[in-house]
Parts: sequence; C-alpha cells; structure tokens
Amino acid sequence: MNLETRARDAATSLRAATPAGTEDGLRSLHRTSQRRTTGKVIAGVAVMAVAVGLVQVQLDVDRAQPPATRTQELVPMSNGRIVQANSGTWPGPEAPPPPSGERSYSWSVFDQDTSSFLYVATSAERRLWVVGDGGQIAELDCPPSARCGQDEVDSFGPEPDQITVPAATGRALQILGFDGRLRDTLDISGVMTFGDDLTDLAWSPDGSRLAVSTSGSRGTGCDRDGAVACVWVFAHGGGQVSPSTFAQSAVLVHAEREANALRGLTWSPDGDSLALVAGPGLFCENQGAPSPRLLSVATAQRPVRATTLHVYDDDDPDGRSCVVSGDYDMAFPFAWSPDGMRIAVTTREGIAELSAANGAVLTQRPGGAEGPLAWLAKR
Amino acid sequence: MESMAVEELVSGPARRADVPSFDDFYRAQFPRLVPLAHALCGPGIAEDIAQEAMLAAYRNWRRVGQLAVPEAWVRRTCANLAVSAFRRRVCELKALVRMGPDAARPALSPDDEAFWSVVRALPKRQAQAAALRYLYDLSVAEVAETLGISEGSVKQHLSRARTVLVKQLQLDPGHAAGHASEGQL
Repeated sequence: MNLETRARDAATSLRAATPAGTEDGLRSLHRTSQRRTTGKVIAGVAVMAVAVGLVQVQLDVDRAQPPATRTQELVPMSNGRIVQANSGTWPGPEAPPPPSGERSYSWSVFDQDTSSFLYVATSAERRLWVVGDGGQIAELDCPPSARCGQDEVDSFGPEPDQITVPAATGRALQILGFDGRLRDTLDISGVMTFGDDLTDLAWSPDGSRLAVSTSGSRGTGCDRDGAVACVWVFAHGGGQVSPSTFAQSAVLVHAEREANALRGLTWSPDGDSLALVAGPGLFCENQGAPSPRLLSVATAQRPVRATTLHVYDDDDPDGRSCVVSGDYDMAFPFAWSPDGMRIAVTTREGIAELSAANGAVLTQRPGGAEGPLAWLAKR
Repeated sequence: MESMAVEELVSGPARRADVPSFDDFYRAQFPRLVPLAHALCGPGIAEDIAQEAMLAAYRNWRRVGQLAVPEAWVRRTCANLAVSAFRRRVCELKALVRMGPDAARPALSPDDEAFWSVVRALPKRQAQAAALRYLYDLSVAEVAETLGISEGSVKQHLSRARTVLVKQLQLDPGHAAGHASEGQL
C-alpha cells in the first residue's frame, strides 16, 4: 500500500470517528465563556479596589525611590503565596488582572523580581501583555519577524523592561522592549542544526546568562551521540548584550530519547541553579566553572503519571550522574520559592513543596492541578 | 476549499457584510475540527483542544466571523493549541479530573491509530502540515496560509513528513523521491 492510499483511509476513518452531536459542546462553550467573563469582571473590580488602595499608599511613600534593576545586588526575598494559572484566569485574591480585551490568552512566564506576568495570545494573531501587581504594564504586537507565544517559548529579560522571543527563522532570538520595538537579535544558530526546535529559553535573574533548550531528530546540534535534546547556557561579558559579546557555554544536559523532552527552564532567584522539566534518558554533562548547578524535574513520557526529581551531583567527577530523589506526579513547570530554598510542583494530589537541595517533600497540600505555578514574594 | 486568494482566508479583510451566527458555525465546524486535534494530540484530549479553539473563535467572533473563511482561522488556532505543550497538559489534566469515558465514538482501527501516532511523533510543523493536508485535502498554498509560513517551508515539512511516514509505516515509497508537489503528500 502506498502512502497516499494509507493516508486517505486514515483520514476517512478519523473523520468518521468524530462526535455526531455538538449541542452539548455548544452549551458547554457558552457556559465556559460566561464563567470566564464573570471572572474577569470580578477580577477587574478587585483590581480597581487594589489600585485605589495602592494609590492611597503611594501618596505616603518616597516617590524618588529608583526602580529595581537587574544589575543591582539581588536581595533575598521571603516566600509569599503560591498561585496557579488556569487558562489565563487566576483564582486567588492576589491574582494579577487578566489582560484587557476580548481575546484568548494564557499565562506564559512569571518574573519573580518584578512580580510581573507575561501573557500571550493563543489565537492566530500573536500579541503579548505584561501584567504586574498594579495592572497592565505593556501590550505589544509580535513583530512579523518573531514567533511570540509559540509553545510558551518566551522569557522576560535580559533587562527588566525587555522580552526575548524566538525569531521567525527559528535560529535566532529577538529582544523586544515593552514598547514592542526590536532591541537586539541574538544568533543561536551555532547550537542548532537545520530542523532543530527551540523548546525553551530563560534569562538568569541578573540578565547575564541565557539558558536555551533545543531538540531535534538524530544528528541534532547537541553534538552528542544519540542526543535528541540539549540545554545550553550562553553568557555575555556584562554590559549591553550584543552578538559580539555573547559567547557560547557548554551543554549542560542532554536527553537521548524523547524529542521536546527538555523544557520548563527556570533559574533560581540567586541564579546559582537552573531547573528544568525533563523526560527519561537524561544525561548531565561535565560542567565548567561558570555553569550553574542543575536541578531537574523529570516527567515520564505521556501520559504524565509519575515524575522523578533528579539533583545534579556536584561531587561526581565525571559529571554524568543524576541522583534520583523521589517520585512525583508533575504536569506543569514548577516554581522556585523566592528564597531559593524550595520548588513547588503540581501533582495529581495537589501542590508539593520540595527541598531544592535534595528533592525531599517538605509539604504537600491538596489543590486542583489547574495550571502552572507562580510563587509570589512577600513584600 | 473554495478557490480564492489564500492570503485572504486567514488574515484577509472582512468580506462579509453580516456576521454569521456563531452557533451555526460551531455546529458545522466543530465536528470537522476534532479530527485535526485528534491527529495532532491523540483521542483523549482532542475534543478539549477543539473546544478551546472554538472558544477563542467565540471570544473574537465579531472579527473572526467577518473573515472570508473563518474556519481557516479556527484551524490555525486549533493546530497551534494542539502542539502547545502547555495546552496539552492543561487538557490532559482536565481529562484526568473528568475521569469519565469519552463521548461514544467509534474507535479507530489499530492501523489508522498507528498512522496518526506516527504523525503525532513528527516535529510539530511537519505534523501540522501533514494533518491539514490529509484531513482537509488542502493545497500547499492553503496549508502555508493556514499555518502562517511560506509555501517552501510547507513543501519541505511535507517532504520530510512523507519520508518518515513511509519508513515508519513500511509503506510503498511510490513517487516519494524529489520534492513534494501538489500531487504528492
């Protein structure tokens, strides 16, 4: 049998297997839309109330206080509450307001330093919103030369008022200002062969290092035998980021089985550790002196049922062992605690707080697994 | 698909004087959207993904409903949602929480399920291009417009997808050599 015949048969049977009745789905859609609209109204009222309070407070504080920058010394923060995203709707009273307008969007990235959230449109048109404690900070169009919001591969940084997104070519990154203007382009083609996918990226809190994960078929730019996915860390010499000052660092980890296995890159608040979500077949690489400690939350292949926390063993002279520390049922990228001592993961039973040092379960509490986590700082 | 300028299908100017009923659009297009989601992310969450795409269309209906071919817009949204790792996990969890059986629907034969499993294992752009091509019999230009990429990229994705499918499914390569054309995959 040739491919055309096989495909035609498969398409015909797939079309025949679709549900005949759609009325239930239509009613459900109207109900969902109504719930989300009601949630937005409630959130809007709450935000207005908070905003009024903030204005009152702001009148009493020193307005000359300079805004925080990433070049300042990082001050440890104390842990606040963990909030959960659910398709752009935030359940708690501490939740930031959703972006305005009748658009479909989802939460993409949370920046602990500035307590800002990046939302991306999930519809065909790509727009970005930055939302902070006090409401919407910026709304920008994705330039035609960029791929915003695709697979949630976006990051705040390197500067506090910048966002980094993949370029449309897939082999470069574009740094956009909150005003939507292109500030810089970073060439990452050196770590990607043609056909590789960029699966995630994350700037370190101080904006000096950039972690990216790539995946592809056999023969990927990871340059490891059998590797299908890798995490790389780039660093620049300080000051303004530019391609000329942007030097490649070593591969931190590679996976040999599941494509797209490495994602969820998240730096610890102090920038010393890098955590990621990984699949099976994970290999830690020998890390150079500038490399961060690696912390990996590993998921089983789909369907997600069990996960294992691996902690990179600093004492391993070969740098290739990942210490298994426990089994968890994790479905979403995790969140670092503001003090850097814990990570929170979503499990089937609720939310677990794990020790960032050894993966031990510190607390576990029930709660719906509604979406990615963000751990707010207590201010 | 109707023969009209493909660039107007997804992002073109409003062509309709009146906005059609979303409910009618849903009834007509949802059953055609589920197979696309099924092809790209499997049976367990296909309806959730299709529903999310329809919800996006509903929330933008004042604009989407005026497009010349609104189903192209919702297909692109569905294809993007279906390959989004985050969205898939959200829908997987919803399915876990629901804990109930899927709506009564005939199961695919093992051969057909195997075919779509191989499609799903392709890199996401290849999978999207192949699913759109097979399910809706779209031309290369229409697939390119639906996905918002160039025709050259679509040809490349389809050609690579074809190579993998033939190899994985141990099919007769037929006229697999050379670039994919309108008559091929």
